[in-house]
Amino acid sequence: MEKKDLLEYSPVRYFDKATTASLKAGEMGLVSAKKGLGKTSVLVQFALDDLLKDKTVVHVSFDQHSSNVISWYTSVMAEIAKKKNLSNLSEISEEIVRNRIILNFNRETFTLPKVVKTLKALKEGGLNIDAIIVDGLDVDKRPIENIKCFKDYIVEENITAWFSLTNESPLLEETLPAEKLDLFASVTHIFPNGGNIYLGVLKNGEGKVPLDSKTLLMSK
Amino acid sequence: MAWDISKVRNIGISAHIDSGKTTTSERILFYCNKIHQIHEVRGKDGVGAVMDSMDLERERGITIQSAATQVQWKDYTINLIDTPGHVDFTVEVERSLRVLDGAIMILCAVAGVQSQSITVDRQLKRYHVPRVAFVNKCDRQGANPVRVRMQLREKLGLNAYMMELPIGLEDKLEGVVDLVAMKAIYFDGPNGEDLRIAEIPANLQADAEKYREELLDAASMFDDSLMEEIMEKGYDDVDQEKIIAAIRKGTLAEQFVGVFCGSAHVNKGIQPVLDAVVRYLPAPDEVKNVALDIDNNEAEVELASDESKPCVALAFKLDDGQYGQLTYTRVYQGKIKKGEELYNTRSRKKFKVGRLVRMNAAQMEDINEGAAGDIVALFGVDCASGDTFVTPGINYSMASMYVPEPVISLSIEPKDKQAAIQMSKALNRFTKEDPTFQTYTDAESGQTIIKGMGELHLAVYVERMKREYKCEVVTGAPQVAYRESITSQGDFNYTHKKQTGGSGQYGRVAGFMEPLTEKDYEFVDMIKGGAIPNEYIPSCDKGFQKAMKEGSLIGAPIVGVKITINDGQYHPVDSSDIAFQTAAIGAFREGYAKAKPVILEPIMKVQMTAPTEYQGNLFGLINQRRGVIIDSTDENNTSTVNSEIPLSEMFGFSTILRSSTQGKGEFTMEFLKYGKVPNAVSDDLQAKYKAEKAAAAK
Repeated sequence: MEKKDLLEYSPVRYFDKATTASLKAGEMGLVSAKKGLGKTSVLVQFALDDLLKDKTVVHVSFDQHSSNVISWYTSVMAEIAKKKNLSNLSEISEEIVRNRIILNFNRETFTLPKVVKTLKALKEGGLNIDAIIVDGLDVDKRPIENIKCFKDYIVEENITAWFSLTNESPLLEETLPAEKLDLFASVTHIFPNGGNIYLGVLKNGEGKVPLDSKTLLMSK
Repeated sequence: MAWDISKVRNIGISAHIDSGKTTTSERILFYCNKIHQIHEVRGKDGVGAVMDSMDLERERGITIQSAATQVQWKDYTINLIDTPGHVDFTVEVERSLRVLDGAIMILCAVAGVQSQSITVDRQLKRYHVPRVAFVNKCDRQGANPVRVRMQLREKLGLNAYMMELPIGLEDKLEGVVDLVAMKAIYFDGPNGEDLRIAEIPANLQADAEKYREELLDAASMFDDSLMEEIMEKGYDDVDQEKIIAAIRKGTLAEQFVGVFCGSAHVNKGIQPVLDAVVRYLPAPDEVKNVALDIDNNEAEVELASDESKPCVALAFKLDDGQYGQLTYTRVYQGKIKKGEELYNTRSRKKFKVGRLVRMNAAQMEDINEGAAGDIVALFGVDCASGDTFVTPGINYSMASMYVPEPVISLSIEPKDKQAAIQMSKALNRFTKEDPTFQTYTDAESGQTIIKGMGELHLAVYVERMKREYKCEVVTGAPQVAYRESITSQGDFNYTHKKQTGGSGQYGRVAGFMEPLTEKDYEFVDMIKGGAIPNEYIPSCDKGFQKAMKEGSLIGAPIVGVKITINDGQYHPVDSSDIAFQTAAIGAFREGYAKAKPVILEPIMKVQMTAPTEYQGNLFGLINQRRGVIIDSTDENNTSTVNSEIPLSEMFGFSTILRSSTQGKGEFTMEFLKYGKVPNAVSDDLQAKYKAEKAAAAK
């Protein structure tokens, strides 16, 4: 199976079909949920989808150990491969991760302008970024000017950016203060319902997509 | 002196190039009274430092080979191994770290944590070696040991604390403040050999108290009773022995690194480092050592530093000198005794221990035995680096040492006939001493090829050939070790026939080849009904393996192929071993052409560091070299970028990096894997190969 064929089977297709919350260039999105419910997995699925489209993806991490981030991608790819009986997984994985760059930051000294500075350095070095994942940042506590600065950059460069946020409430107004919410085109929330888990849209349309309880992949 | 294992320290000195390791070792030998004068590494008196036992090291001012020496400090025995700092000699450091129990990590007070410091740190962590840090060169302009300590914390993630503060810096360096004893130490005498203990200078009192508090708070994390004493008595009146015991606990657990400072060059600060080695670094019986029981499915066996138990020792360095082979050996359990028999578990041969010596750089001292925890050298034993010696009756092997694969080769041609003879002797010796330095003769060109870890690695051996063997060679351009492989199934059905009268040759081999990821080659026999007689099946295997040695794309060795034969034909008279070997070679080439062969190149794991303002340049350098950025970490105005870059793009990189970062960037590089070359590169390589072949044919 080729990379482009795999795109058809990317779990994000279910998200696209079930919701209208897909990001366009220059837009930021938010995935919120309480701790441990699958935010990282969802972000990695978005990132992998972009990588399958030959986009260059930056994954911002506060882990200081890229191996943890890398293993997320490996395990999500493996789950996708299992579903589709993919035999040349390692070849495709190797090809797509060429376009993934992990940026590690120290959470205590991190600022969004620092990311912008690094993105500019990447551009200087001849690397054009198409999508960004920012996993584990306490956006609710960050100064709005910094979020705006970041937003301005992604608008200027036509990039998409997905953030994750630890937040228990399924209500949009309880996710972030209004002025911060305005900066995000799409807001989604992972919530349990009966014995199942769903990724539901709080802003930018409606709809929800189930997450497989074992693999956390978006599904039918 | 009776052997008391608790008073033994097996120590390595690890650091970045030019941070002063050899000078420091020279001082250690002097203060331990082994040598009578101090000779500078590049000294004016014409005599080099004792530890650098080769001229080349003295001239280049770098250490190439490790040297081992035993010294006595107070009532302790210290086995000291000096190791090279350049990235190309990592195997020497790895080898030494395998057998040592603790390390002194030397850093430059000006440059701080440099790229090789990062490699060394990784090695120390890999082999679980506790360490103390010595910030050297505090007499230089720009020296700042406190800043270096912060770098140890931030860049290497070490829990590092100042154990001393310098009294003066740069040309005003006078001594150090010992934060445990809260006293000043001055180094008097022409060579700093006389220690004078005094009160802390008034202007340093506040700083001393501040850093002592920090130190004691950190140490108390390893000892509750220390914490209680601090709470009761405050920081000033705490029992010194308790502090030392707590720091020792933390150091042995690899959770604490004490930072000392001074300047070996101006004879300041070395003796306290020796005290630190005995106080904080482990004795051999405090380190867990494990062997594998070969007779029991390689089950792990913990070794005891007990002289009464069977001997288990590891040969970690060979030195083939003028009197024969000297084998440096670490004894982990039991004893090595002169005249006794030992068993080499790799070669499965017994041997008698002849002459047993102890080394002090270039000088030898005859001894009768070496006990558990000691490092000795055996004379005249036929063995390889990494061999395990045991008392006959047990069959243990120490885990094999991590040895990186060579990734670069050069052709060398002796200038004349005499040089050819000497070159052969030289290569024989060097390859035995260093498993990452290899040599072979190219079957086609007849050229001698040497392989190693980097450009400098090979350059030094070429230079050593010239100096030690008076053998001058001409070298070719550095060559990358390409490979070829296949990416899909390729069928074959090949007949080799030569029947033109007289005894002929006949053989037909049919089957298919397919890609294999887990290993380089696999042969599967699925012949039914004797289509190929059993006696010729090994011939087919042999033929395939011969064909694997040289691929059709660029003549590179082929890897990752599984071959299955499922049909064939033989002739009762004309079939033979040679016929089926030849048929198999033809079959291989037929299948290979259909199996979508590709060229593979070595991909290196490259880590670059530079001040943040050069981050864009680093990304650019990687991008221009077909590299992949894995991650980038930005901390305290330093960017560290990890990437994967083809080796072929890395020649001369140190010069390019230096100029792109105004000399502030550094990098380390090690082999990672083989990867497919892009189509454009593949086309170029194939075109070049065809042109070379055509030229050779003319």
